[in-house]
Amino acid sequence: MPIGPILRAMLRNKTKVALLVLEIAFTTAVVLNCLAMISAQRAQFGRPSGLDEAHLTAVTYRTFGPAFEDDAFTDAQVERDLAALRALPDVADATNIGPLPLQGGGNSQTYKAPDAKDSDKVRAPVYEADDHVLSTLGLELVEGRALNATDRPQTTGRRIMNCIVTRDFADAVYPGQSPIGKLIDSGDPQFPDVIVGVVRRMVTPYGGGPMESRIVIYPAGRSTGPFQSYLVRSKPGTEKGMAKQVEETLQAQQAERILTVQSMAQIKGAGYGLNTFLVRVLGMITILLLLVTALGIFGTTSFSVTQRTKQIGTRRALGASRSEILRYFLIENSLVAGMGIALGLLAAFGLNVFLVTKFGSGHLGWTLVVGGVVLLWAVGVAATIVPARRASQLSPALATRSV
Amino acid sequence: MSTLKMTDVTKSYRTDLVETRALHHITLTVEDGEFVAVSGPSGSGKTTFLNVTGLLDTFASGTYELDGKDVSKLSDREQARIRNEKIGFVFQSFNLIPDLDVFDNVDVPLRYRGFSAAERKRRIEENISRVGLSARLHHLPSQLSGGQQQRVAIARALAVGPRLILADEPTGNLDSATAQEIMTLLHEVNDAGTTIVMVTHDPGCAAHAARQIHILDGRLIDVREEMPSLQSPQSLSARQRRQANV
Amino acid sequence: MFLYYLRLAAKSALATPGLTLLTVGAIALGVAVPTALISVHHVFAQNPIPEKSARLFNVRVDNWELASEAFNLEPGDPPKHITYRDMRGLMASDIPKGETGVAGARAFVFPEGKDARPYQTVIQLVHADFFPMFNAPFRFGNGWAHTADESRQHVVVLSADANERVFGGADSVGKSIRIGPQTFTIVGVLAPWQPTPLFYDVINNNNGMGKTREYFMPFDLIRDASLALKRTGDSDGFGNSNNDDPDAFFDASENNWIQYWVELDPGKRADYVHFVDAYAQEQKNAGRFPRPLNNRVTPLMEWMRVRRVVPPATVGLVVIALLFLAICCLNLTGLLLGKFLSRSGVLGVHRALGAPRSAIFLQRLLECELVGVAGGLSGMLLAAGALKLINAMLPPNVARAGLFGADGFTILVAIGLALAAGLLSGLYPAWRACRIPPAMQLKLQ
Repeated sequence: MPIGPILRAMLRNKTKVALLVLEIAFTTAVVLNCLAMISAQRAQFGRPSGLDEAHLTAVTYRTFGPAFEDDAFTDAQVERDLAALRALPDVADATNIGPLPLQGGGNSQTYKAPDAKDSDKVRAPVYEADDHVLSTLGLELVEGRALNATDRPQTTGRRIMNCIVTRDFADAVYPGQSPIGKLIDSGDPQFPDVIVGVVRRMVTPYGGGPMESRIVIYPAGRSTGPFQSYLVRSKPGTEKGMAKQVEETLQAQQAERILTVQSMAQIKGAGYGLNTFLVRVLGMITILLLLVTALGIFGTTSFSVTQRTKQIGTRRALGASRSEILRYFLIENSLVAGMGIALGLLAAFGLNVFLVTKFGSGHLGWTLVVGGVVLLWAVGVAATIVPARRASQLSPALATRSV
Repeated sequence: MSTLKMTDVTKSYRTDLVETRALHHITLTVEDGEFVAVSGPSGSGKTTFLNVTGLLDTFASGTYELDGKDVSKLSDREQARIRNEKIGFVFQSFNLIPDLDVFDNVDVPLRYRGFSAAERKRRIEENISRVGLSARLHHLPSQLSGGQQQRVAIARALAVGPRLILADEPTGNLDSATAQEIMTLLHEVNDAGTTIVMVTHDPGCAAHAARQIHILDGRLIDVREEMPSLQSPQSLSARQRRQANV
Repeated sequence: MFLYYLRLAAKSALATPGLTLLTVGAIALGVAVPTALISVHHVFAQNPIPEKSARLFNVRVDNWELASEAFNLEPGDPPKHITYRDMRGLMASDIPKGETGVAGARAFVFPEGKDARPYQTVIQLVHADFFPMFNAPFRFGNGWAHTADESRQHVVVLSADANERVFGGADSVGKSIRIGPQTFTIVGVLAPWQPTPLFYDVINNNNGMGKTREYFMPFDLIRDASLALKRTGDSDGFGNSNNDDPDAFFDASENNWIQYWVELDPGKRADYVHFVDAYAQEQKNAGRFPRPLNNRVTPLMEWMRVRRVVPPATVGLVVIALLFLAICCLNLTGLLLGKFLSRSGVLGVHRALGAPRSAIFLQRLLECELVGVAGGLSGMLLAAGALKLINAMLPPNVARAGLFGADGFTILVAIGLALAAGLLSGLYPAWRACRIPPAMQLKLQ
């Protein structure tokens, strides 16, 4: 079908076409940016943490019984708890770790190589756990050794500590060399720490930027105080009843405490709470927006079908087939949608620059742009189909009827 | 005193691509209380003439006095005021406002006039009773027959007490019996002193008017002067030829 | 005449019920989304204590070493907290009308009664001036005297929630409550008090979106080891901070963990800034404070901005939501234009009957505004629903339950946006409508 007559017909309805083009352009710009924000947020949430998230169950508890006021009792109880958990047939391993990874927030320290300049200091989140930490978390050791029982400090006070670091941490402090056996200074040159092992990857939502994957894990000292947390790694396929098993096991060990048992997914969901929240809100806005625009296209096309009822009847009477009428409307709307999307793309990039600089939104990637354009175009066609089909069903007899 | 006085009114007017209708040097005087019928084939410029007369459309040159006042160069607001005060419109398709009932339809021009509530009510009731529809005060146009709708339209046109009624094929959409009633009503209105200019192509209708005017290709032929030629198409075309040579 | 136009507009709107419903729906949706998100933004951005926010100042002094940077700061900013010893030093000034430190400590509360379970809580450590400075309303009793701060009296002020939880809402002033190993005397019970943001501690409390703490105690009780209060909340430090020696921690460490507030009478700020700088200079002379003087006496609302109490993403969402409204307006313009042009006959009759263009314009604009108001009202309900949904979706570590909800502000925004949307989307169609040439051969049906 020649496009010329369609274009000329559109030129005669400049305002209507312009409004629709503008609406589609705005929608394109906003939808693409929503998608960019969503994908940026999801990328953060979805990046691999290095942990065996699917099989991890977290326990935190607060003690209240008088027995726990004795630090020695608390420390021994932690050992008993962990032994009982590891003895469960469905449990692969368990560790006491503080704070819980992926919960958002924690502790951090700055480090440097002892002879490095102060300006080379890097900040890193810090965890403390026992020697089961790597096998419980599922962290992959790539260099050196795991923590063992002898790394554990037996008294309080300052000392030189062995520690495990992530690859990213090692590369930041000792770029281009093996960090095993090297010292790191966390502010007290007298008592540096010694790197004994490197894990491939661990990421936690805390602090933002490169700090999130530069992590230091220390061996935990004696367990004291009313707050403790454990991580339990279950054997594959046993996740279902794990929370209950863990809770019952610990409660049977010692009842004077308030237990909170959560899956790692719950912990992570809370840790990335704001990301998840933003993804949902943006998702809803995007859907509503597509709906509104689809309704707009639907309304305008319906209106123009009604207006052109007699004209369509005449065309049919002059020999146009149903499919030609259908095609006429589809081509017309594709042209309008095409112009809108083209204009919208320009606006989308402009808006993206603004949102990225002002509010740290995500960048528009090419895959996103292509995906978004296809989505918008599909919505445009879908919204046209119903009224266009109605137009194609009109009887040629309408031509002779006076309206 | 003349109600309407047009001198040399000319309009050439284009829509979109082709349609060109025009008024060529129309000169016409209608005296107070006259009943004038305007006829002509379709496309002759009747409608343009009526639009210009009713201040609904502008014209390029010439002068137009309504009730002794030059109305050709007025602002939109002043023109609206004159339409409201001096002209009543009766349309072929009645053109009652579909979402307003009989009372409210007649009320519209009175509102624009700015009458008090009491005055409006008095005029509405008086004019609706004059067209014999007092029982239908709160009916919607869709609940009335064509004849009744046209009566309401006439009541609406009369309500402001206009000097001039412009009627466009007022019986065009009515059966002949009802048309007769409407013509009788217009006659009564005219007898009461209101000037009427009516466009029609129904010779029966035109016969009600004391004066006949013919429009052809935007030119006006006053049949009062050319009475014999109306009877004979040949002389009409002779007249046409003569004008074309001027 | 206005009322008559309004009536005509209403009749015209009702004449095409389907289309009117569609336009009302479009405005409702277009209004609901920005209304909900602007309300969310407002919760973060509102002034929590408008009656005296201009007189309340957060105080920071830069004690940091040259070698490192404090955590999570904008370049050039001093640390977000101060140390205990700097708090003591700043308290020496008598320029402020009131002054208080704010920090948190964990402890267990042991309610009486045989079924009562002990529960863990975070105690708000504050000074006596806290209550009058921040207009904390008392239901029973009062805050404590300055002497209680100095002599570390075992007194406590309960929030309305805590009093409800432990004493069933009865007047508990004078009664005792066991917190940790020791017993405290209740001197006051607050009336329900939930400033949003929780301005005096926006570093903790989920960026200020948390709940008012249940227990308030004299700040220096944290130094009483027998109470087993455990410091909690954001802190940052450098150098040796030996946690095993409490007195060294408080009196000699460079650990920043206290938010420090003063109330200054108008005109006193310059004097106080002068005092703070003099204090910092004194510390420099004593060998601390190696950086150039960088002290801040920040007004409350400015402090909210410094701490980014309004999450940047929220502002982004508001921008997106307003664009959403713009799209709905464009949609609406199309629908209204279609409607007005298809009813050009009726408009022509009005013109013939004496309506000037301005009357047609006004009538059509009123019709748009009627649709706008109807859309705004339904949009308000939708927005209230959306806020409920947003509340439900918020994870507990981001904000307290029921943080967002429809209130007077929401209603104002919804109506304002709806009227603006009606006007903006109606202007062009109304203008086109009043330009429709009136003509004799009008066809209405």
